[in-house]
Amino acid sequence: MSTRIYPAFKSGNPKLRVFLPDFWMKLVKPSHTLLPNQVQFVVSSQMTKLDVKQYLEKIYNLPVIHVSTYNRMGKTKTAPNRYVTKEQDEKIAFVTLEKDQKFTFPEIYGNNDILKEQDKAMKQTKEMYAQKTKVNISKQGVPTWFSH
Amino acid sequence: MAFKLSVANEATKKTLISQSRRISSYFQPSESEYVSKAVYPPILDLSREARKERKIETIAQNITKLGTVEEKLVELNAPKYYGWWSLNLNERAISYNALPFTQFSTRTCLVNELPSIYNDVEAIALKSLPAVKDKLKDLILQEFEYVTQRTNRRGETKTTATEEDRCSRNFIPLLNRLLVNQLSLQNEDLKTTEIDCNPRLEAFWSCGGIEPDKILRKVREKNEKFLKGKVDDPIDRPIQYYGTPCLSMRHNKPLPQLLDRNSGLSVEGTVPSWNLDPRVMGYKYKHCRATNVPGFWPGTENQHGYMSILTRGYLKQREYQLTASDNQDALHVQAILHSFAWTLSQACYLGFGPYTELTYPISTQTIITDGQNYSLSAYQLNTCALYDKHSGPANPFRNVCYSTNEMKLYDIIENGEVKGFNDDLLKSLIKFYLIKPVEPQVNMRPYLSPELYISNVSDTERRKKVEEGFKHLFSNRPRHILKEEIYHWEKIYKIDHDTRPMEKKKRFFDIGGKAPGMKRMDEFNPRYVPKHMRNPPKKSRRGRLPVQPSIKL
Repeated sequence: MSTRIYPAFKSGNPKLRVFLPDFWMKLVKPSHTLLPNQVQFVVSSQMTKLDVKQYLEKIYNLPVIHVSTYNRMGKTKTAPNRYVTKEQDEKIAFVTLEKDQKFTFPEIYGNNDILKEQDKAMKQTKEMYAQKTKVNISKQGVPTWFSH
Repeated sequence: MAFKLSVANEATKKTLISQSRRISSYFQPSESEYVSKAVYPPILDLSREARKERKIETIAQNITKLGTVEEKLVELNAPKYYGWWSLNLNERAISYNALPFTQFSTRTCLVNELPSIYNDVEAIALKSLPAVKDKLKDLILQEFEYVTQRTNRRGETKTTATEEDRCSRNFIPLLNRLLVNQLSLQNEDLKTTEIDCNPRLEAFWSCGGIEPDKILRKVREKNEKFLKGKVDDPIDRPIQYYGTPCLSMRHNKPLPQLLDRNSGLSVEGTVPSWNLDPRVMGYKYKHCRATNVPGFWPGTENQHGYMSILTRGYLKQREYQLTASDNQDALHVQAILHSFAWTLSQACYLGFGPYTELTYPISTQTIITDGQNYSLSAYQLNTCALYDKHSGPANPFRNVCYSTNEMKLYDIIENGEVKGFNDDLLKSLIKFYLIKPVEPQVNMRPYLSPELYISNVSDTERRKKVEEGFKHLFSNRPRHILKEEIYHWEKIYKIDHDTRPMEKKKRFFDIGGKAPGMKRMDEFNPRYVPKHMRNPPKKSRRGRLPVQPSIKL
């Protein structure tokens, strides 16, 4: 089930022998409000609706009722040299489970105060940097310590 | 300071004064202009919500004020040239777990039994049961045992669903004929009912109280100055229903009401709450016309629905596309949607509609069958205006659907015999045909002018214009010039990244024009008429005299 090239087998170095399947599913935070029995995934773009259903039913024993998918286009950006680049496209799958099933996306970091403080500090430094650069707006590219 | 005339001649002075007096007037306040108590215009709430609500109410009033059925129906379409971006519901495509949304969007409370009105005809039904039973058994044998059904027609894709539907479509008219023949002695009104086979049923309504989608939320977030804290305010969603019942019967008198409109379930029934975008259920949005067609055109004599019979072949398809575990819910959904759509579109022909509230209830009966399994339901439409806040607690009324679970008429056909026949079910089926339509006690069309339909209007120009517009709209044909779209390359290279600044700006998004979906129905270029055929003919400018003043000196 994999089209990836593995490194040649060498005895004594089993770490490199990682199984990298083509079919993968990534559980993501829903982009909009869903029903409690619905889950959103980003899946590998080769997977069909039936594949998604089989994957969840056979490996995780989930009662899947319905799967709908769509291909989301990757974001485009203007590169510094003025040409447009695009990120990879991805396939999004919405899976409907049975009525009585409930899923809430877990809080991965929890209520971590340290993280919040870090965010706060980062915000402050960004603001300070913005203020500093604002002073030097007439001579852009010149370091802030340059007084002339 | 007084102005002194310095005129030497006394005579000229006199004439001048008399002339100036001619154009002046003496101010004389009349007594009637004043009243003892001052009356001021009402003080209006100028907040955004109040203004918005007033705007919607004036739209609703403008539709209600119109005199004829066709004008009201066309007016619903007036804001959208390419049709409303509305939720498409289909009789045969019912999502998993769709009952809560269906009940909310139609404001219906569900009761799992038949109403007490059917107890009145219990005795007559029991009497006529044996005669009907024998004939029905023969009919079942004929249709499902002796005759090989031709299940698919040329050009039709053969699926399990279409196969079953074909069988039901052969059986249902025969069943109806049998019951009408047998019971028309007991219920004389059956003789005058009109029967439609596979009529076109379409209904449009606007449902409030649904949360905004991602795009609208983004727009509101940008407009932070006015919409701070109101990003998640609910919006209206237009809903368009399409369906084709197998058979429908209509009469010139309406059915009696099933329960009182102002008490009991009609006021206290529970309707599940819902605020999600219906797309989470797997339903789709599409640009479509707001059409309300109950299977006949305005002005028909028999325009009160009596009963309709639906097929249920789609359940076979649903079994492997979704699941068979909630088939019972799907049947309830089918019954509710069909009954609501049919009664609503009938209400539209009586002068009510999605923006005009009913003044009396409208009821109907629905049977869903494949020949063996039957679900019976009776529906009463108490409220049809569900726009804006009317889908919430501001609306005192609820629609009521009495719907039974599916029941088997017989267990099996073996050796040329129908086994396990369900007499109770047949009795309830007979009762549906014994309910008599009643003469209406109220004004049936309070919001229509005496002309009722546009064909009765004497003003030729107005009649022609509205009639043509109505027929074109309700044919559901696409516009001659299709809606402009933004191509993918344009989105990337013109809108998101300005890589073609030298190109001539012609498209609607280049020149900052209106989005094509927002185009109103009256915004179109008039049809081209060659110069020589114009009335009055356009004159050449050459040799024309300068414009003469119309005021004669």
